[in-house]
Amino acid sequence: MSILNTQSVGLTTLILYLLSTFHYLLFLTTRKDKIATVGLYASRIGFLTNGLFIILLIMEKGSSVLFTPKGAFALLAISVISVFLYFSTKYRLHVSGIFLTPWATLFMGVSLFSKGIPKNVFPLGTVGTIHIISAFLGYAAFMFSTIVSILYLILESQLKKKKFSVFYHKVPSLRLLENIIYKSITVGFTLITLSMFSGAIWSQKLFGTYWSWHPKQVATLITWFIYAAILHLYIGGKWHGKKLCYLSIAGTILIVIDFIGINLLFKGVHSF
Amino acid sequence: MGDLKLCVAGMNHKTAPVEIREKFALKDEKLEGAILELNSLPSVDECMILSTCNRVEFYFVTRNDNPFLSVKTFLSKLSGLSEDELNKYLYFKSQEEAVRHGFRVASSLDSMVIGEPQIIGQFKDAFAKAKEMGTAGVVINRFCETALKVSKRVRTETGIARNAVSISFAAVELAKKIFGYLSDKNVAIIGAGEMAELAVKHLITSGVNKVFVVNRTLEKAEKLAKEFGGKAFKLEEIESVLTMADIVISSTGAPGYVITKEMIEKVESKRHGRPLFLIDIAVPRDIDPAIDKIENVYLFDIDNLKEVVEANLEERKRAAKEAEGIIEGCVHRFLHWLKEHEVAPLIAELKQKAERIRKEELAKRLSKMNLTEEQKEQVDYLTQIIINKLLHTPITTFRQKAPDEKAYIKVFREIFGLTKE
Repeated sequence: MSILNTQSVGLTTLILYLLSTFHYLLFLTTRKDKIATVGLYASRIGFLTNGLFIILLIMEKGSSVLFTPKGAFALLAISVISVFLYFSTKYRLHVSGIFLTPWATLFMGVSLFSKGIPKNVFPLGTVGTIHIISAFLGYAAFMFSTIVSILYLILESQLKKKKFSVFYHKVPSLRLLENIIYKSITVGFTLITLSMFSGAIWSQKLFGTYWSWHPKQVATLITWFIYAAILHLYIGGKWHGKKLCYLSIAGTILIVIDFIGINLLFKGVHSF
Repeated sequence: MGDLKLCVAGMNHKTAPVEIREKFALKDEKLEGAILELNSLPSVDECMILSTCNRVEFYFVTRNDNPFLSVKTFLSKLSGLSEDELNKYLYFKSQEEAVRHGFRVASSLDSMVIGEPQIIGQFKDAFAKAKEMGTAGVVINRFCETALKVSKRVRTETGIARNAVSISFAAVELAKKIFGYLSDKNVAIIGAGEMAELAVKHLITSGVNKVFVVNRTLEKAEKLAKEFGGKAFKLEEIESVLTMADIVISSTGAPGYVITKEMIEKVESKRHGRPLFLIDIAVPRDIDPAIDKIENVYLFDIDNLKEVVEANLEERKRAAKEAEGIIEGCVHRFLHWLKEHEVAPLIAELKQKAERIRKEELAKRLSKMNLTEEQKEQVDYLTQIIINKLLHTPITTFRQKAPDEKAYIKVFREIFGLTKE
């Protein structure tokens, strides 16, 4: 590892994300599309170095590094960036970068400056990998739906108040935003479901039980039911527009409480 | 004789009032006559006239050190204004300023409404006219082609023309902000009015699904419905129209509210939360403003639409600033080309001279020698190589230095014995 120093790859990623965040914020004030493009490319390269960082970490310390704050936050950062890159490229929703890149930067920063010494060591295997990656990508998708929900609420309130700022000119239509929220929730929901099933199988392999009533499992189950309800109500045509946005934001807040709170309060398989 | 220059003399809506501009208004035969007359001035090499209702501009290429002297006399004769008056209303720009001005005009930065698209067509027409009359030479050709390219870049890169700047287009823009695409949306027009009808026409062009026309009398409604290819309704049927429509444009002469809050609340349950976009162009207003409080209902009155237009104009001004940067780069590239262009004929002349001497000498010597075809080819090739290698350094040095140091041109001419100016 003399040529590719893991920590410096991580630092490069952080700098790229910072650069991306800076350009997106600059885009908000100058409104020049070219500046947003710089932000997008910085994110794209950052995505690659972030991936490299995780691979190097695993090569150096073994797959158990993913159970440490260092590994977990690096994974969270790349999850957020992948979801952002997927949707912003598909729907040309560059404005979402303004809200998403700061989070990726934060996660990467936390990862870079936290410890990577694993406490519990579990054999990862295919099921374990699926469990972890689908969980993180799922969270990132929910996070993205929240950010688009915020964009929706901003545009909606500007249309109601008849005040028009950069969001009026750069955000696509309400219908498209709603569509994206629905799609990212669907993607997140699918991934979380996958994560729950693979987690159960993994748990059976490791501990001989599918379900252990750990607070995190319970909280995730509650989140799962809430998102299932959101999707059900949306497809049924009962809840859309602003209501969908509020629910999506509430869902993400719950996940954040879930993620941070449970790690702080309870010790166990799911804590660092 | 001086350097080759691109110049412009002209006036626009900012520098001259309409009664002055109309003295220059040139159309058809008058325009053709003016182009030919301008081109016939001894100092003018090439020319083009851009004449629109907001501006009249005379672009010309000259080597004269005092480029506007004879042009002013021509303009004075054309308009009947004295030269003092011309100085008051006209701008005279040359080289960098003229090129920048032309690019700004073609990019619609100099227009009354920044970013309006008509000027591009008008600029193209002016260029085509100059080509047709044979007054557009290499410089005008290059200038116009570059100007049109710049204009295209400005439009795509800055999005200067993206946002609506008229009330009726603002209505369409808002509809798209709410609904995205309009192909599955229905529009209803209540009453009749020029602006409302215009907005409906724009919506139809944007591909709305169905058009409903509502009027106090069915007869009037049917007449308008026929024009739009829509369906006619009486005012009493307004509630069923409100259930079906997604976009409603109201413009009646009624003194009270035609659409009340109760009406919308009543139809809301049948609409299943589909957003409703209401536009009230009538004064006094047709739609109860309290309706805007209802969720998923967006009501815009004439003042709100004006605010959208204002915000969009601001956005265009911001894009215009970005455009100036694009233009600046292109101006310098064009000026560089212009300088190089002056040098090109001399280089061509030197190459022709060398080739002529080579051909003459070859013809003389080869006939006296007894060579095979292959040997003849070898000799031909050899002479070519010598000339190319010998001329390479002088030509490249000249091409690099001459645009900035005029002395090179004189020396180049004298050393190689090229034609005098």
